[in-house]
Amino acid sequence: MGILESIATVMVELWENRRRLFRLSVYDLKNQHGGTVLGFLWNFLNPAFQVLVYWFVFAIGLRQGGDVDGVSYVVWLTAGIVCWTYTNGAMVGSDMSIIGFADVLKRMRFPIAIVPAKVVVSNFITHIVSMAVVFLVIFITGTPIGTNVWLLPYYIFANTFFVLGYSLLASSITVLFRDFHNISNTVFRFLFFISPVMWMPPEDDQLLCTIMKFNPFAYILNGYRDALFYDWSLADNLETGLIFWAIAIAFFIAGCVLHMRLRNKFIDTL
Amino acid sequence: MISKNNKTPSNSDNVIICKNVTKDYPLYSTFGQKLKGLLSNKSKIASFRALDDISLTLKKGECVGLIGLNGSGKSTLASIITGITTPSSGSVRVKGEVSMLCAASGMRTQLSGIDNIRFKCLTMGYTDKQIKGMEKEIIEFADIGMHIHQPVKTYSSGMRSRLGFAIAIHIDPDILIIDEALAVGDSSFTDKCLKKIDEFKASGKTIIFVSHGVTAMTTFCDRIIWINRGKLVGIGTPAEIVNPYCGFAREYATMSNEQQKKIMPDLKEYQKKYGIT
Repeated sequence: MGILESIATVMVELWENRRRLFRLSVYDLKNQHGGTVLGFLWNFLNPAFQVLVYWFVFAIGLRQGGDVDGVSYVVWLTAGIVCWTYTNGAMVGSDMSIIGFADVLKRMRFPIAIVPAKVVVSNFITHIVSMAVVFLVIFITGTPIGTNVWLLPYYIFANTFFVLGYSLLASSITVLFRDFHNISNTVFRFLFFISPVMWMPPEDDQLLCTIMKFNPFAYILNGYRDALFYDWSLADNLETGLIFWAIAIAFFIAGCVLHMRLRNKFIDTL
Repeated sequence: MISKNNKTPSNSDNVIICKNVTKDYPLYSTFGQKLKGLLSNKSKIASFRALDDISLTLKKGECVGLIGLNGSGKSTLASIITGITTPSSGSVRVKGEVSMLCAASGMRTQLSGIDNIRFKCLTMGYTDKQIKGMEKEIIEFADIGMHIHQPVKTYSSGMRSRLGFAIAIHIDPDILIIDEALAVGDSSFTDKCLKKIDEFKASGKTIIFVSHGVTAMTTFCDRIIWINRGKLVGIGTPAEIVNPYCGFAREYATMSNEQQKKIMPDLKEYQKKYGIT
């Protein structure tokens, strides 16, 4: 199967099964915290508590509540944590998705491409609600909203496209090579610290600035904040933007190709 | 390649057409072999031939039994017809939705019975509204009382098979494959299932029974397919197949391991030996 055919097959399958994809994603959200009293609410309480912990440690404890380019650190941090929770949650959750769905795949004919995609969609739903919390924090603290806030949907789309491509790729790799799950978890823990989630690299640090330029997460994290708080436009980040899209599209193509190449062999391997 | 829901077959009555279906399972022994085997289509890795050149055609409204000893390839053939796995070579054409019911039930044991119904229907693509409607009928048919709200891991094997059968038949597939799944139910439930199967058949749907035993098959299968070590031994009416198969199974039990590995029964020979009823 050629590259274009693989991409087309995956996209058509996702589109044709979009309703089933959405319903299964909602089902996953409801059942992730099955057996707990608060259930569904945990999907929003978890990131909220996470923000609270970081806020306590960094805003009160270490940084004494300074600000980043005129924006209160707490608000700045909240936007970053919410963005990272989505990216990281979808990426960490997707690599084992096909293996975790093996019981269903072994019993019926199923459009396999929606298995990694449903992890992205359920994280997306949580993300949209979490973004409402970000706006709430912005209004409570009286932070002025950036002039380019209409770019936010663009950055959310970019984020989603990136994790979708990654999820297709990672879920296929994990079927081949299970250790990938453990390796990627370690890598993500590291990426958290070389991405501007909690801190911005000092502008005079050459090495860190180069890392940020090639780090797709930096583009997204900065993008969220640019849209929410500052007046940067797309043109100001053109170079990093092009690098980001090159990486995102490469992941998506590689994901589709590997997924289609392995799909008939998944069942016999799982 | 598998093509489903093909609207223009040569014969409109044929719902399943398998042509020279062969299935090889590669036997990877190292990670390198696995990687090579999965990524390239032309790798030469030792493999196990689970199905060897099987050709058969099933008609609409037929009830067919699929028999063979353990390891003969019955479940592999059922998986290929369901579309779960693909043949290594040959072609399969299936018209309509297939639902497979296994003895191993395929349920999520930590979920309650009712959640399993919802989950199964969701994976099939039903809407919440449709699921609400089906739920009631399934619960009524399964008839396991208050246990429906308990996790499936607490169920007895009989309860699991009741629920499994109830779900599979209410999903209303065009083709239903039952893989050893009725063996554990008690006689009153089996009777209830057989009645439902009769209704199913009467509405022009196709059923495939997979089993190593022939008791249930003789009564309501129109035809029986006998496979051994991945090869087709014969297809015929229950009268033509059951006695020779049972005779062979008894002989097989007395053979040495060496003989068991080599034997490939000839249908005519066994028909002569054990007769046609």
